[in-house]
Amino acid sequence: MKFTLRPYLSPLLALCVALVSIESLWGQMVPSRGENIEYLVTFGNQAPKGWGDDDYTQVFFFLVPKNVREAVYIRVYDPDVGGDIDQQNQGWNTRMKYSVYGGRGTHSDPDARKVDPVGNYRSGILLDSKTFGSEPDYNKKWYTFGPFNPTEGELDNSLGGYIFKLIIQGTSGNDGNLYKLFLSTDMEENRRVEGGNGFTYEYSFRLSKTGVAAQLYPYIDQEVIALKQNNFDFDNDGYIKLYSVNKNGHLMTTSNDNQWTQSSHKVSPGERGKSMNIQIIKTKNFDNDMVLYVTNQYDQPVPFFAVPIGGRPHYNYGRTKITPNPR
Amino acid sequence: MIRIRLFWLLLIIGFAHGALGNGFNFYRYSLEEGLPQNYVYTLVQDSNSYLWIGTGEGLARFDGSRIELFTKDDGLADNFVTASYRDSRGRVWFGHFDGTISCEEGGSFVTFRVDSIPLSRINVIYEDRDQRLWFVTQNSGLICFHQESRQMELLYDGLQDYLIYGMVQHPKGHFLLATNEGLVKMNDPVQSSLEISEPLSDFPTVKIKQLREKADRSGFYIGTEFFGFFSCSYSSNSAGITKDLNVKMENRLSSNTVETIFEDRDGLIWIGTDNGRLHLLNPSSYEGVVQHIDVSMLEGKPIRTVFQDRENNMWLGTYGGGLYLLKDKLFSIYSEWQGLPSNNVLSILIGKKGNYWIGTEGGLTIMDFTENATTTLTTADGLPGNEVTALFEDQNGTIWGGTARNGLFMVQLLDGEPRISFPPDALTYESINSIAQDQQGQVIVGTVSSGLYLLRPDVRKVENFTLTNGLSHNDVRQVFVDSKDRLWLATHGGPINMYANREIHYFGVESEVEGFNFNAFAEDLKGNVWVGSYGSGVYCYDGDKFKLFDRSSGLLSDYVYSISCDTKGNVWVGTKLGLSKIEALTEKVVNYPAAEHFESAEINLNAASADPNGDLWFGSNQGVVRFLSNSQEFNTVPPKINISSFRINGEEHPISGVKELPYGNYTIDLDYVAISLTNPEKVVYQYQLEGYENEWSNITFERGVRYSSLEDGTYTFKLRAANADGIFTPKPTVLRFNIAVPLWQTWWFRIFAIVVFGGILYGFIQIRISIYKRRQAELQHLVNERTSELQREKEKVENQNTIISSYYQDITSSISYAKRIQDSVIPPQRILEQALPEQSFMLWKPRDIVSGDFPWFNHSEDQTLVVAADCTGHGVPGAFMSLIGHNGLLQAVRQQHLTSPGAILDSLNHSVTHTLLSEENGQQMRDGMDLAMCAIRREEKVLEFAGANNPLYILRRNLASSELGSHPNIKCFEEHLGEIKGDKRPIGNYPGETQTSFTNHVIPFQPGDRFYIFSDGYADQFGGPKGKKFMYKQFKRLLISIFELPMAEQRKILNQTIMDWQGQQEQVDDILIIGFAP
Repeated sequence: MKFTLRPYLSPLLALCVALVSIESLWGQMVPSRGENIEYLVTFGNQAPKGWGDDDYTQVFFFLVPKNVREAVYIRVYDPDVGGDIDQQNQGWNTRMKYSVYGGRGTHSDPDARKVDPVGNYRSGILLDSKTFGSEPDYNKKWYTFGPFNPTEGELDNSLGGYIFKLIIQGTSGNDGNLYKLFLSTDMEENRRVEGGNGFTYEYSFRLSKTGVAAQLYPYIDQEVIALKQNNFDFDNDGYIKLYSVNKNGHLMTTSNDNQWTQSSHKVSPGERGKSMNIQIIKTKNFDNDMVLYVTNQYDQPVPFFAVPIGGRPHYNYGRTKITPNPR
Repeated sequence: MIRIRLFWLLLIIGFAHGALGNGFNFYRYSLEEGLPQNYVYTLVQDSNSYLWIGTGEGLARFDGSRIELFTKDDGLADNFVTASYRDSRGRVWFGHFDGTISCEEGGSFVTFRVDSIPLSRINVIYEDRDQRLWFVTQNSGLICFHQESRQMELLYDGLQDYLIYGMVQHPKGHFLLATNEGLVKMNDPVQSSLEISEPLSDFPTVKIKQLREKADRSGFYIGTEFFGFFSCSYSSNSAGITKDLNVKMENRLSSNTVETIFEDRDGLIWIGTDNGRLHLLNPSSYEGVVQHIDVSMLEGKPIRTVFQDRENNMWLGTYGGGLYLLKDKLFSIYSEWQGLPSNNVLSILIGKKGNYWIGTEGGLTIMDFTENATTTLTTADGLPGNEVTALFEDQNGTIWGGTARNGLFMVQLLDGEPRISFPPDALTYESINSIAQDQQGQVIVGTVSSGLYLLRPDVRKVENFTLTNGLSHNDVRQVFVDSKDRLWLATHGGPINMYANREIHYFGVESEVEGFNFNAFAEDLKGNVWVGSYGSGVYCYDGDKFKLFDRSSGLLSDYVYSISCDTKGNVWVGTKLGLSKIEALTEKVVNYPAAEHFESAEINLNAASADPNGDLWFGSNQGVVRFLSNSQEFNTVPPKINISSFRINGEEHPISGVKELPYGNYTIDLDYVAISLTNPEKVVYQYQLEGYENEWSNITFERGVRYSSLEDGTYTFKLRAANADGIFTPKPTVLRFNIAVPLWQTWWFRIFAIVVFGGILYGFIQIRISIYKRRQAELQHLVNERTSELQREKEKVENQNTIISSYYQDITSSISYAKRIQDSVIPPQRILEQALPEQSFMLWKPRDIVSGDFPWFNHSEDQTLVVAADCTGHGVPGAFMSLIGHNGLLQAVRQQHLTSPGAILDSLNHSVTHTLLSEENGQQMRDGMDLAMCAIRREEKVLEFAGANNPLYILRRNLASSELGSHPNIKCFEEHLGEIKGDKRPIGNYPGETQTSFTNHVIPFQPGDRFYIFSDGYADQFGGPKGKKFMYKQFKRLLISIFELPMAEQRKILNQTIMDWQGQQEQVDDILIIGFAP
């Protein structure tokens, strides 16, 4: 019996739309449910890098659509370094500083878009800051920064909204801080900002359980013709594959413990203006924290969006390319 | 029994004057009203009373009705305004999100920017005790503004690790900074190098989000993250600080994270927490709990800033919700939020001991001020039911309560503890509407459906009165005993019932009470009983008649649920639409709509009472509505006037100073606003332009005025305004301008003009004189010239005259000599006189010396010839011609011996013709003579006549009727004159002309006949009154009139007549008349 895809196209399309809708509902949770990443991770600056954090700093940007007038909050789940979730390295001795930035330069400053915390990466106006140590009050609890007037962010018309920046930095100690973020309209609950999004240029995160693929969504703009994937301290824990409309699981190189590795991949025209999907499939049964970023042909970092722009990419399984008839 | 701290008794005790409480109305200003953004970061009021509102997208200026936006385009350093402050010099400062600074001064902005480091936003602006301004940036340190040098100094090193949220200066000179690490101490960095202490250990080392200095600068307030509110005082201890108060969630602060602190002029502290709640704290009477302000209208928007304006209005700037104004303070609502068991308050009683009894749907709440506690009783405590519908205090101080379905109960307070009991007959299953007691001690109970009960607890007696006993209806809504011990019953159905002296009285239509359903009674201070009806308004009974107040009188509604009387005698009418107050003195109705004043709460039936303070308490479906009688009903703060625009002929001009305008015709436009933020719509204005009008204008709401066609003068525009309560500005605002008088109306110009005019006149005169003199000189010169010329001419003329005279004399001599010749030639008149003695005359008047007319006589024996000749011309020519004629006559008579006149004339003609013929040129002179010749032959008594052009007149009496008169050659004139015409030809013909003989007439004469021959000189003489010729006709009549006179007389008359006729006229021709009688 010959298999044909046609009868299944409509249900598949509906499923895709539904998935996109679901993804939008995940919005502002970082990492999002669609990323299958358990926690972001940042270590104290005295921790060995081989534990999975190359620079003890995580920088995340939050996009608030221009039309949003209500106040927004940036919430951090389990912000302290201690308790049930975080990675202890001997005793709890780590202090973790959270800083929220807005205003001019927050994202537009070139240093803000680098993968390493160098130069004026704390650009913008500091809106709020708080440092946590091991504080049981915040174990598995949310801490809320804000409220923030959306206009306190930096207006980026190309992205269509105001951008806030959250820098999480381990200022002392050697423990690992595992946490989540949420862009909310409520101080006490996670209420998503309609159309809001979160993005970063370097992901430091803890991989999910064995067999679950963590998924990152770099956005490939029209200028990208090639990209370079860099990962750190993957411990060769499995596979890293690249998916797009034209790539169905291109293997990327994987790093070993406390090592950087990189691999280059061409970008076809059809992949531009869309999100790609980097799947990290863990195969070993231990906690693994790693770092990953992607740059374009100019070594400029490519952003990862929590909610993939244009939706999650799906490989084009030989679907007929429809081109218009020549006139 | 639930006992809680009586936190809201603070309202009554501590805040009674301030009249602050829960449930006030807020008026919202948001994007719709013109705010640039709903995020309000800061509020400040300038010296002109404008309220400045700092937002994330611009600075708004509010005058009560209009919001004006200011941005970078208007000179601001940045659109994002995060802090503001009005300094001791009256300048208003604004701090911006990007760390820049703007200062509003004199209507424009001055900006400051410290560029040494990237700045963060300015959180607070603080003026220290040395009047230095400190701009507290979030994480860029401090910026100090030195007032004198106007220099900004950035203090950054050492502060970069902190987020700074506020600062105050200790009396000892150092500063305290509110940071994210806690409260730190900083020395005066301007005096010495900056030193920062570790966070003060007396305070939590957490983020201190607010640091506010007390109004009297005796200490400060702190709002912390997680640790609530602190009130601290400066002290002399080692730390220099004493913690007075720490308010946290245990004290009913709704969150331990404090975002906003504000101390108002009453010393009350407004505390905003991170959950968007607002609290009030009176430090002076703080008992451990704070009051909550119901800000549910703010919909949970965090309160960013609290501000009190000059009129004591409270403003709330929210984060995302815009700006809110605390609208009024007349009413407050107490509800479940403050601890009532239910919002539906069914009965209220103010006990004689000062206890407040609140009957609700969920039980009875007792407030004991002396104990400062409140107690709520429910069925769990022994109440027969939780719906307490009626409350009454009897003569013994026992509280009687009625329930909705479970009859009566009694409560007594024993040592402050409520003890519930029941009367002997508790009417257990009755639904109680009302309870009262008469002076005999009977307790009267009105029920929903069982009519009236009279209880005598002392004798355990109960009586029931229903329709069958004469009640109008069994639904007795209220029982009321007035001061005269009359029992009034309000029933649904039937007239008003009144029991007095064991008799029942009905007041219905016959008493002009139209109502049929009644709900409530009250007695005012005058003893009048007021009756509230359900649908017909309110009746006032003065003991004699009823007076109606209804909607037409101004009540909000005719459906009345309660009536109460305050301590001023005003009557308060409760309706579902709100409260109406009937004023005691004027009976004027003042309304307080529920929607405007107490959140649309509906007043419940007969749940009303007045407390000893004069406050009124009303039960409603949303809690207790309290009217605060001591509230500041009147706004005594006059509005602040601002003249916003001064346009001259449409062109904007500055308002300050006196405007001097050149002379002209001007149109002045003035726009102004008087700011009273309490009730801006009711602000009224009066103005006067001195110099143009003598009186103030009428009261107006208009915010502008135009004056047209203003001319020279000194003008003073005066403007005053009154707030909604009629409080006028104490002094009018004045704007002066002068329009210069025209140049020609200035005194100096007039003097100048007079001088100039006088000068011009003098100069003109001088010039004229000069011109005249010059002209005179010229004329004199001319005259002299002319005179000389005339003199010369005169001399010339005189010379000529001399010559002419000489000539004249020569000519005259010649002519005179010629006359001698003529005289010698022409026969003398004596020849005629000899021939006709006294029978003839001759009037010969030559025009000149010699004459062209000449007589000629020749006397012989046979006949006498008489000739009157008139030669052509006169004077010398005529004289020459006369000589020719004389010679011709002589030749004819003496040489040719002719005798007949006709022949003589023929001969004369021949002689003259040939004499005057010029051989030289072949032409003959057309000269000759006319003449008449008579030959008198006296013997024959005949007279022969021949005439050349000249006639002969014959005068005879009655000639016409005589034979002679009928002669064909004689033409008679009138009766006595006959004329024989001469031939129509002169003497002297041209050659070739027909030569005929002159006719010779022979006329026989008679004695007495007179004959006249003459030249034409007499008849042609001009004269008379019209200068006409004398004419022959007149000549004839003259002759007729004189012909019978003697000849001499005739001559005399003829001469005189022609002289008279001639008058001054010249003689035009020679005159010759010869008359004779043969």
